[in-house]
Amino acid sequence: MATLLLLAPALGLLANVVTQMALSRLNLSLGPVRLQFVSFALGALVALLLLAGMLSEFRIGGADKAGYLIEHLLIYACFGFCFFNVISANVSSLRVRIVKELLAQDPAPMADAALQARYSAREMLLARLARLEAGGQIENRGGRYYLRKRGIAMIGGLFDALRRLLLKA
Amino acid sequence: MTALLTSLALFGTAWLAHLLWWRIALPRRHTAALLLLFAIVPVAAAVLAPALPAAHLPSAAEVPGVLSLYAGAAACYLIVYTGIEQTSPTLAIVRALERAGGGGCSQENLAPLITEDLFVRPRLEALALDGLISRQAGGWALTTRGRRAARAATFLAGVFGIRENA
Repeated sequence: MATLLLLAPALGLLANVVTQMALSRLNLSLGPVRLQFVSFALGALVALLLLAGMLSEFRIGGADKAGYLIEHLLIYACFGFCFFNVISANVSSLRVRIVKELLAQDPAPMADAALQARYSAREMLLARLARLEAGGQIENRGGRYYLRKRGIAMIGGLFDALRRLLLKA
Repeated sequence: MTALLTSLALFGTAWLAHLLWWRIALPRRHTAALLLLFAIVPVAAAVLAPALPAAHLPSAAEVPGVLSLYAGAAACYLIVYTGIEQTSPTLAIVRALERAGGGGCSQENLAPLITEDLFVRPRLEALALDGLISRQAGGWALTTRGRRAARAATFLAGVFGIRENA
């Protein structure tokens, strides 16, 4: 019976993927990150409703039901996070963009000069500033940028702490 | 509750082993080392399980859930680790804006954070280390593995209508 509970995060993830595909074709005014949050949330709701329904049939104690609920919502959250990053990497990852550009001219190699011209530091900076502004994390006032939401800065702080701990950097 | 706690214990054990390994001797290929570590821990747990009281172990029906959560958490950590190993340009910008506070930053203030040496070259080297690209006469080219990865990324971009803006 416990194995059947895996259907909930699996179907939640499917709902997430299908919603993302559908919304991406509707040309909505939502930025890519907000769109992903919507599809993630919908998938989480599907998983939660399925879990609640299935667990109501289990003859086990409340603590065990809570344990199964948390466990399977976490399973959904983990794979949902992975899917979120697969999409994000295609949007903004420099590594993904490089391999796709190399594929476009494969098997001919790309010279360092050509790479430098395509991935100029200034363009990377402007692209990221534009994306952060569109997502509402920063704002531009009179040509200067200011942080609007602290959440992403906290994530940056956590990464810095882990880097110091693991890499002594 | 046993299944949830077992998953968390497995992941916690793997992460502590990762921390110890990295503090003693940093591996050359971080991702490969992490994959090996995450694979070994559940195998080691399966070998040691018969020595533990049955009341502390998940049932056979719970094992797929335990492994699913462990695998999901490991996959998430591998993703997060790419941001630890190499600074994300976005997070570098955000941290600079946080430090600047009410004064903000101009584009000129932020420009030194994103340079070819800081971002482009390390990513090329990482792609080469992971076997996705190789140095040839004339520049960089995809390996067979790199071609597969690039085609997968292109397919996903088509399916999900992704417009890149790296």
